[in-house]
Amino acid sequence: MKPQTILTVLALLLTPAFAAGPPDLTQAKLSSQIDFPLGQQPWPLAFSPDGGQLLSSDASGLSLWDVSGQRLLWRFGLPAGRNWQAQPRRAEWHGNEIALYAEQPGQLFVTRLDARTGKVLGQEKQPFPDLLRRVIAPDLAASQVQALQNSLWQIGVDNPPFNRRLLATYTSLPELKLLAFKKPDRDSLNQGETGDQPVQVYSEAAGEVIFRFQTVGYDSLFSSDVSDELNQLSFSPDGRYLGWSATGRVTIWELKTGNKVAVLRPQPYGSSFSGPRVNWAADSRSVTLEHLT
Amino acid sequence: MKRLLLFPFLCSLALAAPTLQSTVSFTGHSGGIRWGTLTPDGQTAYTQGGNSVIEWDAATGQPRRTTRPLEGKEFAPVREDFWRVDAPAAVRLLVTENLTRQPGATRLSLVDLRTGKVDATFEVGNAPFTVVWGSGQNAVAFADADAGKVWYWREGMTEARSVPGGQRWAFDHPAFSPDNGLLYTLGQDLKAYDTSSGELRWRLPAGEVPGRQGQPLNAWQREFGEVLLESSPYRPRLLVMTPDGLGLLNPETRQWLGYLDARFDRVHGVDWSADGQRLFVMIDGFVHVVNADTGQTLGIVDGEQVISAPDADTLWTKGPAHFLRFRVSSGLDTAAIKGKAAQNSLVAVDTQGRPARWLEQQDDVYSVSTPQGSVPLVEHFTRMARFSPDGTRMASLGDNQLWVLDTKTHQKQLSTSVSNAFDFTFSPDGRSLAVGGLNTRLLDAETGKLLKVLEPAPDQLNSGGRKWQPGPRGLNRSLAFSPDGRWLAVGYEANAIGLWDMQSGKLVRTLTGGRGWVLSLAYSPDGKTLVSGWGDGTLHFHDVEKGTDATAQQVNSNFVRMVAFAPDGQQVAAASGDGSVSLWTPAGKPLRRLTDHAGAATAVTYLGAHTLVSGDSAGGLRVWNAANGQLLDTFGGARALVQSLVLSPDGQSLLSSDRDNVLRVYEVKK
Repeated sequence: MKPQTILTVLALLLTPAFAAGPPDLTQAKLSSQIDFPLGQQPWPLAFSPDGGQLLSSDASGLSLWDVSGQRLLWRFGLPAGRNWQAQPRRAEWHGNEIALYAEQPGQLFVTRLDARTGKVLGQEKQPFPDLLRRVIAPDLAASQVQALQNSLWQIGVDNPPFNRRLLATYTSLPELKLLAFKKPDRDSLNQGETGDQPVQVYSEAAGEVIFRFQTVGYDSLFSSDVSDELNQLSFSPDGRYLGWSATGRVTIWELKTGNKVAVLRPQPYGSSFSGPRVNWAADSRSVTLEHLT
Repeated sequence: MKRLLLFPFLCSLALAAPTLQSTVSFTGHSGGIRWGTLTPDGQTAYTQGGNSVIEWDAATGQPRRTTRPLEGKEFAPVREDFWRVDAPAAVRLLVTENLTRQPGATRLSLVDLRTGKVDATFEVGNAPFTVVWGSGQNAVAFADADAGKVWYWREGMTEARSVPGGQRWAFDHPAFSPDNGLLYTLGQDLKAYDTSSGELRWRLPAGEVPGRQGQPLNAWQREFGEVLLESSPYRPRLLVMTPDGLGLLNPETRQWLGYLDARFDRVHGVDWSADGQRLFVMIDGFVHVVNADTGQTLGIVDGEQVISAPDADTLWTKGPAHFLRFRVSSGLDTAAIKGKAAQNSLVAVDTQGRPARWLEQQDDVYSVSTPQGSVPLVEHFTRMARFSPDGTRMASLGDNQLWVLDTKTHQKQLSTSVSNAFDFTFSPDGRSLAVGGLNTRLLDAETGKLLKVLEPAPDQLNSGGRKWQPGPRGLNRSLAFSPDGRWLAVGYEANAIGLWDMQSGKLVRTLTGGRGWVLSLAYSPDGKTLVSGWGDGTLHFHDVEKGTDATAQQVNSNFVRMVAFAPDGQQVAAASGDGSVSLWTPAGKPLRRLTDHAGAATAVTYLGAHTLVSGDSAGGLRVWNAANGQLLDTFGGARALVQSLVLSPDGQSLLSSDRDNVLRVYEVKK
């Protein structure tokens, strides 16, 4: 077994560059690489907004890494012999606070940490909003639907070997009350064609879908159960851009105009089912892309 | 004594041999379309399957002509992997007689699609590896790994030639110069041969090539690394995979131009822009656009294949379900046309480089598509044929369609999709059709609408857990309605016959006993006896009324392909793989064995209570006196396997479906 490594690719996305021309992707290069020792199964959670720090989780705790110095800044370990009740799968930086999201069916655990020390500041449980079901699967009853962090499932279906079926991958931007989702182009019940299911943006204010972005690449959502493959959509923090990350590409649309402004291909030498993980910088002007290899 | 001698003579007078009345010829490939392409101008399509190549008018979808380049032998296009276009200019096709693609010696033929003629043949040890085509497909070369040769042929040569070309695991990779005048091979050294004289022109050792850091290369190839040699058809440019990555060489001056800045360790395909300025490197759905002089990456877009490059910054590629137009500099797609070109087919483009016409493949059906719509390439290869109970229609079962024709005019009245079907039958009232396949479907005989699917319930399948058991599973190979239409007997691949109650639509009984597929079924006219012919060469006589155990008779060690009941119900005939036609009583007592056929007896039917006709794998038909076993006549001349024989309900005509894709209707004289 090879040590797992996290490969990070930095792509700079400067807004004025869109107006002037395309972003210069030849400048996108590997910025850093962290090798983890054998036996650890680290799960990269999030980069800090400046890209300098990386939070990872593993079976027994959380670690914050200094990416450039490759140094452990702090570690929050579980008591010996204890496992996560729900292992966090996503994190967000809010200033000096980190919000950790861990999911259990139908519920989301949000834990706030101090980014400098790793101390827990507070914890709360959030139910997933029923809005997801009403927008994505209005024909189904609430009891037939289960929401997870980035995906919505229909449960209790005969879909061998599973008893659930993916309805959509989604993301939301609570500040602007926007919800973006994409249904699978095809699954075992619905034999669609690539691009049949657009990426849709629903506005709570407008009460309807305000954008339908045509996709032209594989969505890799066929019977997918891998959360990396389900984590496809991301809003920039200011709500100006929407990113769709699948099969090694990140497509970025501008929500004001509905135009596709960039397709980022950080690793164009091989296929991958999942897209790179997208971390938007706080200023919404650049993204950090991660590839797990 | 006199009477005995006279009797057969009288019989033969009374029933002269049927005479050919009319034929219905279809256009089609046995086994369906295996491969297809469009010409670059989009005017013509070629399809291949079985032993034939069909040329089609791509605008109308009408067949123009059928050729059989290998004199009736079956062949298949050589296909190395999923990414290669087998006929990049739709001019020639390299085909193999090795249909199962087993490694080893075989013969390859170079077929000119336009004429249907074979330009050259290659007797190869284990080949082909890395087939490459010269400009305009006017030359071809490939490696023969076992023989250590690189074979080549170019237009004007009367036969194929070869040059030395490495060994088993390190065979040389060929490429042609733009005018096909030089054949390059990459092995230990890069060599150039004159294709007219076969002489070695020059040799370039790896040591004369600078590596990425300026030091000379140790070898052309990295050990166990991907080998690649691609030549531009437009300019003297070679793209070579070296241990330091992909590099560009001018083969005229032997000047090394440099390395591609992107470090590929493998690629799926390479294409060149017509102006020679750019090359396109395809890998896992990405297209890298590279300057053909410097190796600098100009842009990266998505696609499996480049369709056209109308200008320096525009590229049309083939995506998973669309044709996509990209701006190379930004990597953004600016237009999309929905379409899914068949694997290996060319896409014809208009003057602006937009996809205009392409071949699509859905299941086994090919069609010519444009952005506006599509026209199917309608082909049919008959497997068997039957009359409707009133005789006004005849139906032919093909590889992917069942066609119902008017008996008099031969006009097609209905065509319906089928798959894996080897048998069908009309219900006795003529209202529905039962069609075999992986299940049995009941169709409306007028409209082709699906009425019911006969699929056993899970508990009836009898798959037997760990132990294999006979049961109503697998291919539904043979079908027979009881004369009153109450029952449908279905013969299954998994050594069983299912009796379906047509009123309830349920499988009521399963009959087993033989080993092998149930190839043929026939009900007695009174509906009391069902006779089945099996793949193990046995005949089973089932008393379906009483439900007692069947009488089984071993006919031969091959198979029983077809069984038939005499119209009076007093006799059963079975056509078998050993060439015999055997006659039995309905209870299963042997009566006679008729042996005159060449090859296997493949079809049999009764012309009257005492006369029967049988067909064989060589296309011969025999008329027999069923009472005394005398051969009355020999006729036919199809020279192709007789697939089925049926008598029209009025007894006036005999319909045969023959392996040369023709239905023949014979007049039966009383």
